[in-house]
Amino acid sequence: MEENILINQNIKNIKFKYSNDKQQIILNSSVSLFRNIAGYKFNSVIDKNEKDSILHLVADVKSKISLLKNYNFYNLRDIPRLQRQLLIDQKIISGSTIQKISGKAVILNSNIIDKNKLTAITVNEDEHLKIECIMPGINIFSCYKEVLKIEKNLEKKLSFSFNKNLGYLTSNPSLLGTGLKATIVAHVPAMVISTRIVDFIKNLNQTGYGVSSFFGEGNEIIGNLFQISNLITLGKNEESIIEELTAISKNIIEEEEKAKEELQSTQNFSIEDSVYRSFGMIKYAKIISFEEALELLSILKFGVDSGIIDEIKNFDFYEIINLISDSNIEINYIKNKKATLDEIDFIRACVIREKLLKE
Amino acid sequence: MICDNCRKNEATIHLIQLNNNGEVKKFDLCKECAKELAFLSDENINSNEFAQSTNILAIDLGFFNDSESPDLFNSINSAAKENKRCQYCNISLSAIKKMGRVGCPRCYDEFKEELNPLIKLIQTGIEHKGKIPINSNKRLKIEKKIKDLKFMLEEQIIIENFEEAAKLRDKISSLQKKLYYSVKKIKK
Repeated sequence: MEENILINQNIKNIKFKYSNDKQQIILNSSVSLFRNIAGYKFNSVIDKNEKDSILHLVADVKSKISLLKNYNFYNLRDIPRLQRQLLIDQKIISGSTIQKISGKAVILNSNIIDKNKLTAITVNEDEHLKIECIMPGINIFSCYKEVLKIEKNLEKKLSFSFNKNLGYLTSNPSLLGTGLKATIVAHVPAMVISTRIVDFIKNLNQTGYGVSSFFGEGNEIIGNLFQISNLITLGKNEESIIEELTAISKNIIEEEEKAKEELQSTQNFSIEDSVYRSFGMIKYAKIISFEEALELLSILKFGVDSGIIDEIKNFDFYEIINLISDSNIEINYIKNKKATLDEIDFIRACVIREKLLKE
Repeated sequence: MICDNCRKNEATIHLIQLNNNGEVKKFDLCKECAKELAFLSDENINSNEFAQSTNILAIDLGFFNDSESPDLFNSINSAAKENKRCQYCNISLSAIKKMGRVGCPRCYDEFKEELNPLIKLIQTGIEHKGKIPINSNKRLKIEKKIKDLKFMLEEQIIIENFEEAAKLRDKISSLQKKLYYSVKKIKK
């Protein structure tokens, strides 16, 4: 199916293109705007018929907006499982079970010329509409401009639920007001190893920003990857949320650099040992799970950036962690056969070796 | 220590709030009253969820209002409140609390009393400062413009640029006049 390929390309081609942070500390930025259509109940109590009306309404409006002419409207149940999984990996939709996909749709850019930006409008997830843009690096303002453009166009044809005091209305009270969620994903191995991260998170929580693990659930941190987003959406304006998060991003880079210097100033056998053990694993292990791969690659990236290991040249961390997810491996290397988890883990090990150990 | 609510049982659960002025509000409850007031079952009260729901309990008890003492009668009657429904989408207050979501835009008006303290708790207040829809009515747009100008005025005063501040103040008062007359028109 042609559509398969388009979604696939769209998502896997988020290549990392960077000017200011070679060490890939802030991996990506994303901005989401949550909106509900006036006159309809929220998705918390809505029935199937109303949900379908919203789908039709949005599809109709989309077809009349020239800015969105290169975007396609996909009902989630029409998207094949693997492609849905790609969307879940990118956190664009939340799940793949029947309950989680009925009555929902996503509008995606099928124009694959711009590889540095992923823009999607999700319909009927938690709120009626979520307009989202993801870009590599610190690009929060650019993401915001992108979603704002789309929102302005939608506003010309749709009426959003809005109230003078509470701002844009949402079923979730923590999204009221601006309805804006800005997020950055950070890779901070030095801060974790030096335990600077503990104080950092404490301070951040006090300023209305939340930190959570990017992969993994609850308190489990995998691959030293964190996501930071604003907890407050009402009582601030959009620009201040974006400025604050941008300042936080720069602060994270500083802290990570400082932590790295601290660790480098004293000889630390156990850190060098971890780095080289990881190197041994990727060189020789036959099967590597996704979680294990993230841990290994994180430590290796730290090792390369700290000059601990020179057997590996500087590698594109962001590219690799996107490439080796279960779904990406199935799509790129297994095509249409059914694969066992072991086979996927085996291919992952090969892919990692190929990317990291090339001469 | 005796429970503040029933004045019969031994209080084993203590809610303490320390606010910025150094004031301390204390509320001691026995297990049964806490269960009732926070709408918990036997198993929840022993789990970690109870710690999270103490926020809701505290709101019921008026901890986060600026009033001097929590309105006990308010909480006792809240069993009746729980069945209060939104006349537009028919969702009950207890369903809202359970899901953590409201049912429709009008719920925020229907349950204003109960939800506003909650919103104040999780956001920085209940006054929207961000952008407004482009198809808002004229009045709302003028009000927004006045808000923005007032914010700019404060900034100019802080950096002591009084000339600019005076200009802004004039703009604000002319907009306010505009607003007053447009409201007057409607009232006529």
